[in-house]
Amino acid sequence: MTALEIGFWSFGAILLLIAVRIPIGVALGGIAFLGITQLRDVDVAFALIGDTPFEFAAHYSLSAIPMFLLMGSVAHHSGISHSLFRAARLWFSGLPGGLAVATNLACAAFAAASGSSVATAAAMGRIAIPEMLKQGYEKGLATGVVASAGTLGSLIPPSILFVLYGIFAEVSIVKLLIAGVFPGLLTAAIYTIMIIARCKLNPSLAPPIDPAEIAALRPERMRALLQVWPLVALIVGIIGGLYAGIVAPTEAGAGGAVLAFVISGIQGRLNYQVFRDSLIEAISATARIFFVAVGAVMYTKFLALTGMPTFLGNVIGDWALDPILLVVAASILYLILGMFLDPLGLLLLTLPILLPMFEGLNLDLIWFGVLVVKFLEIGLLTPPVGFNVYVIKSVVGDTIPLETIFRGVAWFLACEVVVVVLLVAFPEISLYLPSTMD
Amino acid sequence: MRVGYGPTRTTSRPRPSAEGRCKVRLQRAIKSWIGSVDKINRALSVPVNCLMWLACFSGFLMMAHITIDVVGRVLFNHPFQGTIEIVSAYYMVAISFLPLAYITRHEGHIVVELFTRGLSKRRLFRLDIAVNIVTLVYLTVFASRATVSAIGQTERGEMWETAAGFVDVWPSRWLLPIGIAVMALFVLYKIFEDMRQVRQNSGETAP
Repeated sequence: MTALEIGFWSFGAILLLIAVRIPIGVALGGIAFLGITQLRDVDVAFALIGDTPFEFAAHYSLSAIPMFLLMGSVAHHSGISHSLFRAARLWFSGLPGGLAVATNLACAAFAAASGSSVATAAAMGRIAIPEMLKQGYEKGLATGVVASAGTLGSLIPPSILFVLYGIFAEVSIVKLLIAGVFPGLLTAAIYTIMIIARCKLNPSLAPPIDPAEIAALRPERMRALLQVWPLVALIVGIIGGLYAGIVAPTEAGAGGAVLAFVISGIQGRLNYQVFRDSLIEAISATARIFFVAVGAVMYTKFLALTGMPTFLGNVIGDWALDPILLVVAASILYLILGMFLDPLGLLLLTLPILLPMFEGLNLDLIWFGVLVVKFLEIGLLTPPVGFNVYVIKSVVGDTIPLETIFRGVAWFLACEVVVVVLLVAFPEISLYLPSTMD
Repeated sequence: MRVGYGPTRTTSRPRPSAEGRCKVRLQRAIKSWIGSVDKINRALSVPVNCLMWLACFSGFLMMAHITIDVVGRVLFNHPFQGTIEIVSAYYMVAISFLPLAYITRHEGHIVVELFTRGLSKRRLFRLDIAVNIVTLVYLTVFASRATVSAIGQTERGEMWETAAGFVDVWPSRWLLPIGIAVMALFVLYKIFEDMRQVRQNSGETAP
């Protein structure tokens, strides 16, 4: 068997192992170990498994991940997400589908404190869905908006996926994070337009709130807005600090986490349980991500030995001479694999194959990074394995079937098609802000 | 003459057959085995929780250390020497590997459950036994090679160069085999636990 054939067999083996519930990190690392034993010898494989995990984890750029996660979990556990939804509800509840619009915009704002889509959806889902259901919102809309707007968590900085992409693609993580700002806002805007249009055309989706009640709530608006100041401070501190080049991503994350602790302390919301739960949540999530990433790094090294990246680069390079064709090919690949794999595994599995092709065509890797994160986010919403939908399902329990949530998400997926077309047609949406940093 | 409605007593109880005696012994053995599985769980929870706390403490220290470094650098033009090296070599390694057993205990590893959702409980436990055996083999190789690597770096006295001097890195090499080994022990426990569940669910049929 040639090295390339072993590489192809490894794809099938990994998918098979994942299908029988082997943890993804074990599947990737185990196949890499066996593959290298077959290609070289067991000593090379031992050296790989003995040194790679430490070398991978002992990496300063990666330390942004636990810090971003910690900041998000403190912001959630100390009630910032709650204040945010309350303020958004008071300001936007007068619009058609006002609570759904408020949820969408609250997710976009919370994304500036959270680096993970799943965490954003979980945080907002617990707060917003019961409110919308109480108001008589259609179940698909109520759940679909949180699952979909939760994906903004990875697009609007901070973002764990951008950090990982930046390390693998060897491009500036700061520029990647800043590149996500406009695409994230664009997505939120298109979602908002869709929600308002749908609810205007079909008011039964979202029964309007009594005008008298809205008028009664109006005086509370400014007070609610004042309670959101911690998030504004976080946004200014993090995005501003990164954009101005004052702080590196890790420093922004650590400073943001300290700020979140201090703010929740000032507001009287910090207690031992908040402190403990935030730390455990952030540290567990980090180790969970890194366990997969260590396997993926070993698998990447194995794939390089098989010559797979060069082979695929040549194959697609001959065919997709036009960059648009390559983007279409990549989007199809992500769409199909995204239906089954989690975003992290998918990112780490596909980058070794796709990056050489994009480099071969001299395409901008920051633009590609934004597209990849967008594709991964779409994968969080597509059936049968849509992690954000599963998170919402775990929030609502047995009251709403999975099919209803997927049906609600379908409208947002249609919006994603528009967003992706705009991002591909106008790379400036992603690249304008990073270009002003030079 | 006997008065009452209770069961009649015989003066001598018939001796159980050899097969019956075997059954009783087997039941006693299973009971004591189940008891020891619970004891293993309780015993393992100590290192599992300790490692998690150590990882959380490292995460908190990392946050504080980096913030002090930034404040020192930006406000006083005086950065904290060796921050990058200590963050990378110590805090990051602790955060990455020490919580693994805790995550395993809370079923937190990333797995795809799509294709196995229709299985009965009993079949699922059997599949989990096989999955955990594969995971255990992987972790054993992982931990043993990490140990070999840690011994090598300890003998060499691994250090990283910083702007102000050198930082000893070799102690953090040991965090990896410790974290992986405790995870492996917990996976081994889970294999026994799943075997017990298979036995308990033996009457159940597929839905």
